Amino acid sequence: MGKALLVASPAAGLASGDENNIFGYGTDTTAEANAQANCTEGADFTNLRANITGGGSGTNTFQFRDAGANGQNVIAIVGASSGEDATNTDTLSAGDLFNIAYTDTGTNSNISWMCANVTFASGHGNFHGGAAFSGVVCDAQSSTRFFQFAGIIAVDGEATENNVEWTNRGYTSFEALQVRVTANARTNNSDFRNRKNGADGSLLCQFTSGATGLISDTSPADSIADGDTVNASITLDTGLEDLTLAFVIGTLKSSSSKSETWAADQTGVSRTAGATAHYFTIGGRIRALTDLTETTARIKPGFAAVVSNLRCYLSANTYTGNGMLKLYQNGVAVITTTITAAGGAAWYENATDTITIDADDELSFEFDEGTSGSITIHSVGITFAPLPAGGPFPPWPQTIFQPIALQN
Amino acid sequence: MITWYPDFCPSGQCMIELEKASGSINWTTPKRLITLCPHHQNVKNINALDDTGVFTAILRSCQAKEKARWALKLDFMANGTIDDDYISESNPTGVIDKEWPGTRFKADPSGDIIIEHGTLHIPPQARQRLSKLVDDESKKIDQVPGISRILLE
Repeated sequence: MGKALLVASPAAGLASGDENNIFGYGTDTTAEANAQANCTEGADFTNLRANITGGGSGTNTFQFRDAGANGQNVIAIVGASSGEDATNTDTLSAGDLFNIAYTDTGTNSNISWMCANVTFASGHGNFHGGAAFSGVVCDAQSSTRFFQFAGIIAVDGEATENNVEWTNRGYTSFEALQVRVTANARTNNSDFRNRKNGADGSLLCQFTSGATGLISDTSPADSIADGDTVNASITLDTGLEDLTLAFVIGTLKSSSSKSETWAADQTGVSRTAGATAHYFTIGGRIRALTDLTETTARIKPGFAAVVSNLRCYLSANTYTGNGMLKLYQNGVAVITTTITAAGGAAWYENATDTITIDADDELSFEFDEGTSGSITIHSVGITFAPLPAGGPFPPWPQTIFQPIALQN
Repeated sequence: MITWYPDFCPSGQCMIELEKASGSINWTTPKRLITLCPHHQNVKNINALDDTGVFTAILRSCQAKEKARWALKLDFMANGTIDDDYISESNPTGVIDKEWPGTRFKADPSGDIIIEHGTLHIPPQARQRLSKLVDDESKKIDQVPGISRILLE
């Protein structure tokens, strides 16, 4: 058991009465049911926090909701600043529904991120999801499309599976899949499945004609290994009627107490090479290039860990000189992954360098350089591993502990 | 374990376990009713329904709701209806198109499903026609004991 990090990043300003959740996401909803996710594992939720970067002229309240009622985690932020509930814990049982309700007393808020920590009651893992709580229409008949477990879910799903795959380093099992459908005019079944290395897993969320709501599959898990890719798929039968989707979530666990966080954009964000650096949050959605500064992108994971495997997937890379993906720790670049010039569609990863963070350190991502040409970014993330025994400090010199013989 | 959480319980939350076999889910008979919301428990009691009976009533209610919502979306698209909440940079007029996510709805305490038109521009003279459309479409679903009424706000 140990903490993992949930991150959400909205596409638009929050208005009083909006309902959302702590993964993804794109758009909000005013219908609470459309944002409610199944806590498929018994879990503690702590340290709800958010960063308002603009607007929010009054008191802005982020309230954790447990089964449609107020939970314990709550933050009230006055004006454009950040806030955290460092006191309260919401303990949910497997099957409970959770979400976040936002209200304000002034202008709408623009936020760079909203986070919380989750600690599973059994084992170690996290919920990863892509979302657009107001709903996106899927009607690509007689076809299979694909979804990422982060960022905004795309209209119809993504046709190219590589663009939504996440290369796993830390998790060892795919425990559950859940899907929320908010409108369904289909005349036949619509199937969502978990995917591993481009093939169907064993989890299935199927909506029969006209069925809406949330379906979760917590059947026996699929094992996953270092290097496996994970994502979800949707298969629609014939017909052009709507299936409107709010989110797709996977529950992933690690037998070695690792966890991951990544930001994503399923359709890809293009960055032209240049000397101006661009910053992103370490989870949720990859926003427009100039949305955030390094300061507004910073997120505190909230636990001590070894951070590794800084990586990204690019569906295009025509840079004429090397580009750089950097992990920032408290405003300083600490790990760099080289985006090799003209590397094309590929994963780019630094599998060697690691850093150690404590519970208060803040992290962000930076893309920089490239000379000319462009890249298209779909996902960027890192892996958290527990600290080695003895904590974050180097071992004391052995000589200090040499036995000393007593002399009579 | 496959669990279905319907999204139109007036209060509380139904949780229904479904069975998965041969790559498909059995949508005819539930494996188990984990919990019923107070309204659907009442539907079960009043109509003396067994587990399959109340599950069928819940599913048919959902399908009737979706028949009506889809008919409304097609009507709105055909008539260029505007939704203020659908205005965006890419759609500055808010005119309803194929990517519009659908009408909002709520369940009132009696269990009736009310289709809302809060930010939609619906001419007063169209309301009666749309109400009839909702009624006609929702009744295209097999009517079973305990099925919810679908109404336009």
